[in-house]
Amino acid sequence: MSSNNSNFYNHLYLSKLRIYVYRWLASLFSAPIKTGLLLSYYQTDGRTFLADVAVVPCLRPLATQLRDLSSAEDTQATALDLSVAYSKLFLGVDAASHAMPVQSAYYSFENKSLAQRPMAQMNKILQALGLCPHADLHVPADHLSIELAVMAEFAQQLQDEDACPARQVLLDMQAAFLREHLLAWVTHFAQDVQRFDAHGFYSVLAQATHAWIAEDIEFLAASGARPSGSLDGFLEPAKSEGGKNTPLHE
Amino acid sequence: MGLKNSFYSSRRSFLKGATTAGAFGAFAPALLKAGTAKASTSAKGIVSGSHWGAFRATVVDGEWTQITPWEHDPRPSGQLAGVKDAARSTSRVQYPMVRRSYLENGPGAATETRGNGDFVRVSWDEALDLIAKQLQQTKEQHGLSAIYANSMGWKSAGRVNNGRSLLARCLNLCIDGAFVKSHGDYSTGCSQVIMPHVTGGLEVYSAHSAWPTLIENTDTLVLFGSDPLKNSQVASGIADHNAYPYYEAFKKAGKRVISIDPRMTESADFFNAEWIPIRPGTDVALMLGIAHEIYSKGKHDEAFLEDYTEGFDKFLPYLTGERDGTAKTPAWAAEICGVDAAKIVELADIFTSGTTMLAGSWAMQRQEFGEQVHWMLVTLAAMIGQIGLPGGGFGLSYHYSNQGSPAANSPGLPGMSPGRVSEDAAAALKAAGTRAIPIARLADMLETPGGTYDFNGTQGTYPDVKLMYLVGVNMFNQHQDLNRLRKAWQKLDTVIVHEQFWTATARFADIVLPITTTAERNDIDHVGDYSKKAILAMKKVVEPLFEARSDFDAFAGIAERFGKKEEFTEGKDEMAWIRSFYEAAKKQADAKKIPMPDFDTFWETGFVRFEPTEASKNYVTFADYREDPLLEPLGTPSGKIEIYSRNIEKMGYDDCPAHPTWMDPRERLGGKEAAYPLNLLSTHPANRLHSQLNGTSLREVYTVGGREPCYIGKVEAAARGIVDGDVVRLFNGRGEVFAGAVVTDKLSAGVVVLSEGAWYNPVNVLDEKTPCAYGSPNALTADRPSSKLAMATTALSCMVDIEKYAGEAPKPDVFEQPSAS
Repeated sequence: MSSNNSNFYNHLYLSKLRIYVYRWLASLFSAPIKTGLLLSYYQTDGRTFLADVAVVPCLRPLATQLRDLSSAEDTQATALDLSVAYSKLFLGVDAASHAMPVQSAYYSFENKSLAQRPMAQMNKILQALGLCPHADLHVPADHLSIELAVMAEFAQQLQDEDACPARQVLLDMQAAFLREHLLAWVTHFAQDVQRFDAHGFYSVLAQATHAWIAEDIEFLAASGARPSGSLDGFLEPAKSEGGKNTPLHE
Repeated sequence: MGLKNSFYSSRRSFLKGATTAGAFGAFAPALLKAGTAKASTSAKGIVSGSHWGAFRATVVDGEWTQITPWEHDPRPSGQLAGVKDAARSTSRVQYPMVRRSYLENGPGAATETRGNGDFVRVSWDEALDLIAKQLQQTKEQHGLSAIYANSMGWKSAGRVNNGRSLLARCLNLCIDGAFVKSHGDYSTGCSQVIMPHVTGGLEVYSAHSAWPTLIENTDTLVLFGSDPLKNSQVASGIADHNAYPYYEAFKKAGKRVISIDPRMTESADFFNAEWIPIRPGTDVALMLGIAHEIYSKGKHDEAFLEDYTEGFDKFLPYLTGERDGTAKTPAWAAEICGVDAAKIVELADIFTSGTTMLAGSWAMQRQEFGEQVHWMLVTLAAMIGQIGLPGGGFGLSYHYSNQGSPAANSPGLPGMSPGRVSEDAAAALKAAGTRAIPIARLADMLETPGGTYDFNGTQGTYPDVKLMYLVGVNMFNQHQDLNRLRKAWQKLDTVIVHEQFWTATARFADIVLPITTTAERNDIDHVGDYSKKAILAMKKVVEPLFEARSDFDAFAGIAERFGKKEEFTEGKDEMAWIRSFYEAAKKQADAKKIPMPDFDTFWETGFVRFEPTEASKNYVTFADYREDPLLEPLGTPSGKIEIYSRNIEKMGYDDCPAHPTWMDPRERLGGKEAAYPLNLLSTHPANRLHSQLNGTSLREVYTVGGREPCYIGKVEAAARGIVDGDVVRLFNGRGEVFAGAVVTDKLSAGVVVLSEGAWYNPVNVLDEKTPCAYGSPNALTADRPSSKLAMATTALSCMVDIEKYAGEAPKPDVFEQPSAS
């Protein structure tokens, strides 16, 4: 294989990997894992998927956990265990030991409320990107699953974009998004999950997510993303490069 | 290790898998799609309303950034900030939830574990299917009285999303009305039953003499446990705060105000009132002492008693002691109530020296034998003889919903109809004696199905309830002796709750539906329960969080499963109902030549205002009766104010004689049977509405070390080594509660105050006597009926002790906790 070919495959692999990992993590935070999905991880496709993502070291513990959970004798009870853990941690059932997977809840440590400025910012971002959640996903725009899904969309755009200037914008934009959104709160969120998760799975998920986005910002920097970019610059027409503010999805 | 170093030999397989249609899609689905997310911006200010008042909301990119009082609110409540905070609370119920054991094993499964937080998220369809199935099965398997449905609390404002009406409407349609209801409420349980015997009306909710008549005519305003400044911040509909300017005017007029109360209240302070501290639960004794003094000095109004009342002659021998050998003299009263006999004599003189308005409170009747309290207050007012005169007489709710505000010339605004119970079900329930239970007898009902009970001259049978359906009500706040209730609750097979927040009642449910706050739906209501000064467009401020739906939509979903959706909705959605209610009001207005814009203009403007009439400014309660008692008789058997009730006499209750009588509560300060030294008052809180808004940032204003404040007098605190900020433990034979100490000189001796509405926070739900970590007084209060007449709550007849807690108290954990960092 020539060096050029190798770079091509590396690029293609990383691009696709980023899309699927972000989507995967987003979906795991979006709702409790149902019995059917847990069983799917036990099937060939599921095993293959877990094996593939497990090659990324920071995702390996998560893949292992899911493999083990899917192998449990009573999958239905296992799924219910996960659902109870999800409810206590993420749905506010247990006020003393929850870690709301919403950026607004980490906007102010004194007043952990939902639907604050980060949600408004995410609403603007989604609007600018021409995106909205699927009809069956009812979460605020600054929910972790949406923010991860936005990164998946950025990764998709990056993969689809060949032109260098546009690639640079996409690189800068997603690095800025990571800095201003996910990295601004996921560290604290992951700590809370670790503190409160009696089950264990969501602690592994949160740690994996935290590690993944930390590695991804490094990856983006290594790929040429500039550290100075602000998300506002991409979203406000007057400030954006070339004055363009065309939705990425039309 | 960076991602570039994560390459691995199977990357080609990943690429292959990732490009295989659907192979990885199941594990890594795209959650976003092309489209426009809803994110409104409204810099102008969206008009909406709440129990705390009307307001304007500013929304930027979907975020509710600011709440400002409506420009026509004369005295906005500081609690309004909590309305915005509540809508964004992390305590919100986000999705339909089912208790895990219930989901796995069905009704009645592991009910002792309710409250442990083991909930599972389900879809709306799954939840509604489950509810419909259980309603049907419970009715079929256990009969017509196996379902208890209750929405008797401070449901949200709004005529469409009236949880009480919608619950009844849905159950009347879907299960033919085969459900048990409740009589009365926790606030005014005694008065609601006794007053119709005394004056023929409810009195606690009916319109009182208007404030302008008091400002002009009253010489002395007597507040018996009444604190209008504190309590009129809220209203059962949308608070208008119209009474506050009148409070100012009354104060400015230099009128005398006397506050007879175990607490130095906000109102007493505001009015520069004379504070007469009294032992809780002894108002009847004090009033008897005053009455005796008035009678013995011949200052009673004989003509009024003769012309307008019935039975004073039968009461008199009791008052003088002719019948029982005990004259109810000021000295006698002083021994009981703790007010000096000389002061009682002085009060008798003041009350009869000018125009006197006796303003009772609801709290004073929430005690054992509470029926006697308002009855005696009316009797005292009758002896003074000013009932029906401007500025005089009595009022039982000047503290409530800006009572006394002149009414505007406003049309009536219809609301959602509860529908009708089928004739068969009504007859069967009536025959079984299970149509309704007195609301505060909930635990009795659960503990003794089939047991009989007396109530207001009737005998009922407690139904064998299997399913409880609660909407807009927090039973684990309202009810007394929560340890007892928790145990009785285990008897229920199914508990369904519609809730906005994870209240204790939601936590002790099997199925919880997430309901929108008023800010997340459209509705319509009057501003001002009494003034009706405007009709307000209660506009949706923000989109519902997560999967919250309105009560209307939730019930429509249930009705759909019974094939009754069309009948339930009448083919109208939320906005169509709002329009229809407005247009019905406009039709009335047009007929009366009251100007109202068309609906679209109204909705755009946000409100339509109405001016008070001159007649309403001069309104005097009982004036018509006083003017012509023959043509305007009261609704009592005699047509007069009944100081002696033959109807009650016929009931023959040993705990409710036929005329006002001092009956010594089992638990009271100075009482013979009191096993604990301090009288606990669970008064209405100053910074929330019962338990509403306790889960908001308003808590920062009043909590002590994260717990509900417990107010304790300096003497009592010093005797126990308690100082401000201490964690204290309140306890009695029923339970224990942790709270934060506030030492004060604004309490009668021997009194502690822990406001009701503090979220119940049991430490271990499996422990029968578990303490409350945050400070709910109802973990301590007694769950015993007032008497056989009203069977009402007796929350204020509660004795406790208190200690400085030296150990490590359990941490409150029903509210949001600070982050790890």
